Amino acid sequence: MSKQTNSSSGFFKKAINYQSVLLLVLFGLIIFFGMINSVFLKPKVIFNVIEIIGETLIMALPMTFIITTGGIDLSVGYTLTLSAIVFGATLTSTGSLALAITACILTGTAAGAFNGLIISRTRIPPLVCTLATMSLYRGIALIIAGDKTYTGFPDAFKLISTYRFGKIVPIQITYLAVFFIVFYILYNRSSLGRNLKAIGFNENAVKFAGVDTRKIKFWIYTASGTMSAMASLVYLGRLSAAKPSMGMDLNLEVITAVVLGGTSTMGGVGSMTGTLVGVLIIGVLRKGFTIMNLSGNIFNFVLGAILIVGLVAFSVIEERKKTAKKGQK
Amino acid sequence: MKKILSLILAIAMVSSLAACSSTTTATTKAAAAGETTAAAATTGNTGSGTGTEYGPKDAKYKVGVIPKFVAEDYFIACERGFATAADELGIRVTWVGDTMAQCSAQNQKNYIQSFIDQEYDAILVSALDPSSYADTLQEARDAGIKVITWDADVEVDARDFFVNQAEGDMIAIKLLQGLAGDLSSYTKDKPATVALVSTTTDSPNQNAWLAAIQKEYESKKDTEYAHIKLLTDVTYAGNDQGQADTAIKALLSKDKEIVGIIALSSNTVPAVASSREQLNLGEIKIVGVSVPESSRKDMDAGKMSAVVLWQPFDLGYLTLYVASAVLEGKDPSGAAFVSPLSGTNMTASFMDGTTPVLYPAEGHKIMENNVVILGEPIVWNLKNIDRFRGYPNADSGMSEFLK
Repeated sequence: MSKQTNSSSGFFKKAINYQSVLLLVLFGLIIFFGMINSVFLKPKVIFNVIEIIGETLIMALPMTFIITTGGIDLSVGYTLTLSAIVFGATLTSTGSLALAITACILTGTAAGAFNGLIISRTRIPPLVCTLATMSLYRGIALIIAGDKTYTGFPDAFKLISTYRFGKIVPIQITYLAVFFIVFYILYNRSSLGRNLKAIGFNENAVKFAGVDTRKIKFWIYTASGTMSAMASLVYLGRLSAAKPSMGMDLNLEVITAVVLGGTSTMGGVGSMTGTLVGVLIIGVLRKGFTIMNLSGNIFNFVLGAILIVGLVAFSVIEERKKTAKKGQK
Repeated sequence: MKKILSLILAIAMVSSLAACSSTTTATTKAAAAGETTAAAATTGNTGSGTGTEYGPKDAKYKVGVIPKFVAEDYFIACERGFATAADELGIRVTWVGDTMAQCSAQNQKNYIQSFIDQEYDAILVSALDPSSYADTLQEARDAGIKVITWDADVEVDARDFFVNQAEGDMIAIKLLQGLAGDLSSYTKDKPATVALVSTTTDSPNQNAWLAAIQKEYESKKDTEYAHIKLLTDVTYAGNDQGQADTAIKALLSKDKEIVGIIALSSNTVPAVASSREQLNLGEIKIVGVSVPESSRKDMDAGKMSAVVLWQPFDLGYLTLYVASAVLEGKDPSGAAFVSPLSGTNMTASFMDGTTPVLYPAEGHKIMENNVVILGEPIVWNLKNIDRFRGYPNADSGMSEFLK
């Protein structure tokens, strides 16, 4: 173990530096938007960023696990949609909020577990598998809901996303903090975190070391599904209508945030703090763009651009790391 | 290491530059639009992606306008109406929305939130669905911002006023009458089967029209509409052209008896027309709610006799006048609201294409729940289609405006 730390300590420095640069970018963006329109610097507006990134962050945390292993989960957006539709359908037909929430979480978990089962038991690449299930989950959502929109959720339920401390600080900040701390500890301070990175580096080596990689993979995709369902509840609290078109671009947003945060799609390298900052950057961009009265079309373009730039930057970094190592020897 | 840092910094700079340049284009566009007068609508328009601004920069009031979607025939005409009124009233209007493929209630909510943050004086929205962002609209009203819906309403207690294009009943009656006339060769013993095609189950306008059509039909099915058999099942063809095509093909191949269709959105009409052609069912008559210009080709070819629609240009124009009155503390009240449109030319009659049809001089009807009605819906055919304002060009049909 110590050996591994030694060889990667140089990279750790880099990782830390990359995250501090990201942090600089985040503050730079806030100042930039603040200069364009001073409204952006109002506490209420800044805190609104946390409100609009709630779902994204909740899904980005398990996504960091997945991408660290070299996998990916494209289906998160529609897992959210499907869970939301199940929530709406259950609430409409039974009137029981507790039942609806349970059904929602179970649906998300099942969707995630299905991904996990296929990916851990077969050699189908996660990209292909979750591309297929993405379409599958969307299809199920459409079959259940048809053209219906489920609305009329109880006011008490909406509070999970609309309550604000002192009328300014969104309630999301509490559970985002809890989720983040849990995932941070798992990622950085547990054997699970170490194994995730090791799988990303060299899965076979980890297997030979006696670690049940199939189990790990199954659980991280399942966790991704559960968290997507949680995200759907937060989403529904904020936008009190469930319909099949709702989660469309969320997978792109989540993956972009994780990649931007410094988790390599090649696997083995990642950062939970980076994911947090990545999500915040995306939130600031979204908020900044709306304050500038730019529409969502531009935002999607920018998301795509960031993703590409992030991917290219990473491959360049990886390349340099290799040459640097050779130079040392 | 340093190289990586500089690379990242370079990326950050490039991305912020990109953001910069898009702002500048937005503002120059807006400035260009603001400085010209009534022609503003020509310059600043149809762009998707960026918000467009109209009216003077130093205006007393800033008003944010959110359509269902941008860069689409109907809303382009609305936008030009807002632009013209913005110049007349000296109100600064920000027009922002997404294209049809991108639009969502969530995006609309974000725009509303941003108008609240920027302390706009009023928010005018055409709602994609009636309940998604009631909380945000409430927040706006708590902050003293006036909320007015136009074209498509939200829940009554989430807004101050709703500027409605026409009474749903009237639209329904015109549609049914139009189709009944087209199918007059059918008889009570051998009635014409007519299907209803709507968009989605949660579209407030379409649902109101459907209910009104069914009610109107039920009340006169033994007299005026005896030669028509109205199918009770409604086909929902979505907001998207591809989806509409599929749904309508399925409907027409399932029920070959259908000889008439009432289509309730501008998307549906072209979809019905094209699937009818592909399935070789030439004799089906269509009457629909649609932008006349989009159906001009079908009218020219004799496939469609008429569409029903108001003047969306005037709807935008009137909405800003209502907003202005509300902002000045003169809420529309009583039986009618008088705007510059009152007593002027609405269109020409579809019977002869010359007899002017006027807006009532006493004003736009005010209904309960703070609803202001633009006027009666208009039947459009080739005789009066050139009177349609604000589309395809900014000056289309404008010669009779306010006359």
